[in-house]
Amino acid sequence: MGLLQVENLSVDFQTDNGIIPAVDRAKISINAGQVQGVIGESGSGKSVMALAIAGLLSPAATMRADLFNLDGHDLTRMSAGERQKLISNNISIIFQEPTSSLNPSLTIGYQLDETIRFHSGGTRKQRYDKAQELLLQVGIIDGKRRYKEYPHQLSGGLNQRVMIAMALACEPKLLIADEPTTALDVTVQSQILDLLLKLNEEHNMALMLITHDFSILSETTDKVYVMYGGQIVESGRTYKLLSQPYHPYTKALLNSVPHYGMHYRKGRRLFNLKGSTPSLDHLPVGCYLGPRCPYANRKCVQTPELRTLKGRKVRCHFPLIEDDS
Amino acid sequence: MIASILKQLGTLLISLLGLTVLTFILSQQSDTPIHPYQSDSAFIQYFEYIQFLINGDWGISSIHKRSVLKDFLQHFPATIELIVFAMILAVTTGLALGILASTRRGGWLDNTLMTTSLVGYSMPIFWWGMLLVLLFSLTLGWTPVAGRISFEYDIQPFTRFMLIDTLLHHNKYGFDAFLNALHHLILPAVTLSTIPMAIIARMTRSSLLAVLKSEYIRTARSKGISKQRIIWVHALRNALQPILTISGVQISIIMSGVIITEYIFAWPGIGKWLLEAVSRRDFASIQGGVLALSIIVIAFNLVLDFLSIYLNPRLRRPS
Repeated sequence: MGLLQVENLSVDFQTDNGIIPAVDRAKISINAGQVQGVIGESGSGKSVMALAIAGLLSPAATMRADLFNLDGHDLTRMSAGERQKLISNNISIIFQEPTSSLNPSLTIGYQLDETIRFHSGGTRKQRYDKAQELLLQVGIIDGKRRYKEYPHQLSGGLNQRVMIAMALACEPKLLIADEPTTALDVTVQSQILDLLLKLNEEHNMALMLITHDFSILSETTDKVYVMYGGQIVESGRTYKLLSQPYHPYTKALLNSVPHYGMHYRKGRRLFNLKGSTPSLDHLPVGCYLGPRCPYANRKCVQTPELRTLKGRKVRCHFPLIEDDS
Repeated sequence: MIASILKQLGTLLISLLGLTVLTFILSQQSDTPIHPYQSDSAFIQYFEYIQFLINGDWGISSIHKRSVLKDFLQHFPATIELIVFAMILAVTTGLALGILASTRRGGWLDNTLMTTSLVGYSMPIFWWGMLLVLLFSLTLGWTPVAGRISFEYDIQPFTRFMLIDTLLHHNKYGFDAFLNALHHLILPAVTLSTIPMAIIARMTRSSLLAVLKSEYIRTARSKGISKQRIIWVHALRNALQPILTISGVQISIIMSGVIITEYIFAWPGIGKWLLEAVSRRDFASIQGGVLALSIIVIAFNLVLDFLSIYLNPRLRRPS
C-alpha cells in the first residue's frame, strides 16, 4: 500500500528575474517502511522537492501537484491548515546542518519537550520520561545531562541524533533525511546511517534519503531517483540502476566517483562531465542534459518524456540499453 | 562567563578613565578654579581631581553658589522619570511595530510602518516636539503645554520622582495628582521616544526577518508549531541580541534629546539645568553634569551587555 504518492509535483520560485522552475513534474511514490534515495548535484532540486513534500517551502515558492496522497488522504483537497497538520503528523524531516537546525537559545530538552507536547501531550513527568526514552533510542546515553545542555555544547553527530529524536517524537510514517551526514565526520556518518536504518526497521518508518553520495545509496536504499535540472531523469531499483544506468547522466555521475579498489595511475583523471549544471533560469531547450551529453544528437532539442523501460523510468531519447546487451 | 564579565568591567574602567580625563580638561577651562589643587603639575592635579570626585566634592556652581552634586541630584529624578518612561515607550512600541512589520513582510502595513519610521527617525526633535505641542496641547487641548504637574497640586518632594511622591500621599488628592503628573509626562515622553522607537522598530524588523530565514525556524515549522509560538519563543529570543545593542546606543541619543525636550516642555530636569549652565559659562556645573550623564550612559550599556551575555547561552555557557 502506498504511503505517499505524488504525481506531477512542480515547484516554482517567483524572483525578480521571472519564474524559476525548481522542481518539474516529479513523480514519487513510497510504500510504508520502504527506503528510497534521491541523488543529484547541488541545485538539481532534490532539497526543494523534500521541502515541498514536507510542506516547508518559503512563501516565495508556489507548488502544484496533480496528485498528493499521504496515508490514504488526498492533500490537494484540504485547506492549508489541515494539510500542515496532516503532514506534520506523518512526515518528519532532518537536515544537513544539525547544529544550525536546532535553536541556539533553547536547551535540547526544551526543544524535545516542545515537540512531544505538540504531538502526544502528557504531563511534565510523562513528557520528560518520553524524551529520555527517545534520547536513549537514538543512542544518547547521558540523556539526563544532555537534556539541560544547549546545541552549541554538543557535537554535530550528537545534534543530528537529537534532530532524529525530535523527528521520532512525532511518530512519523515517513522520515525525510536531507543529506543527513554531509556535514559530519566519516565515522559519525556511518553511525547516523545505521541509526536511521535501525529505526526504519523497528518502527516500520519509511525513509527518504537525499544525498549525493552513491555509496550511501547502494548500501541502504531499495529504490533511487536521479534528479537533474529539477527533473527526475531516471528512477528504478537501486542495484539495477547503479550497475546498469540507462540515462547518460546517471552513467556520468557514477563514472565521476572514485571507487574502492580503483587503481591509481599517474596522470589518470576521473571522468568529468563537461560543462556545469544549467542555471534554473536559463535551462537549455529540449533535454536539459543535451548540451553536456556525449550521446546527444539533433533529436535532443525535443523534450524527452519520462518513459518506462524494463521496470525503470528514464527521461531520455537514447537510453543506454544497447550498450551492454 | 566570568571571563566575559571581567572583560566588560575592564572596558568600563577604560571608559571611566577617558571620561574623567575629558571632564578634568573641561574643568581646567573654568574662569575661576573649581577645585583647590595642591600641586602645580597637571598630571598630579588629575589624581587630586579624582580624589575630589570620589569624596563627593564636584565643585561649586558659579551662578547658584551651591554644590554641583547637590544641584545635580535635585534635578536628576525629573530627568530619570522622563527617560525611563520614554525608553519603556520606545522599546515596547518599537518591538511591537517591528514584529508586526516582519510578520507582514512586503505588505501595505509593513511598507507604511517602515516609511513612517524613516520619517520619525529623520525628524529633528525640537521641531517634532513643538509640532506635537501645537497639535495636542494648543489645538486639541488634550495635554498640558509644559511642566511636570499643575500648579494646584502641592507635592512634598520625598523622592523627587513625581509619580512616586504623588502616590505617597495615600489619598484621593495624591492619586489625582498622580494622574495629573502622568498626563504631563505623556507628550515629552512621546517626543523623546520617537527617534529611538523608529530605530528599534527597524532593527527588530530586519533582525527578525534574518532569524525567520534560519534553519532552526524551518525545523520549528516542521514540528507543526503555531506561527505565534515560532515568533515569540523561537525567533524573538535570537533576534534580541542586535536589538539590545542598538538600544544601548539609543540611551546616548535620548540623553542628548532630553536636553532639548526638557527645554521645550519646561521640564525641571538635568537638561534644563545643564543648558542654563552652558549659556552662563558655569564650568563646574557643566563638568559635573557631563560626567554624571556619561556615567549613566556607560552604566546602562554595561547592564545591557550583561543582559545579552545572560540571554545568549553561547556566551553564558561556552562549550
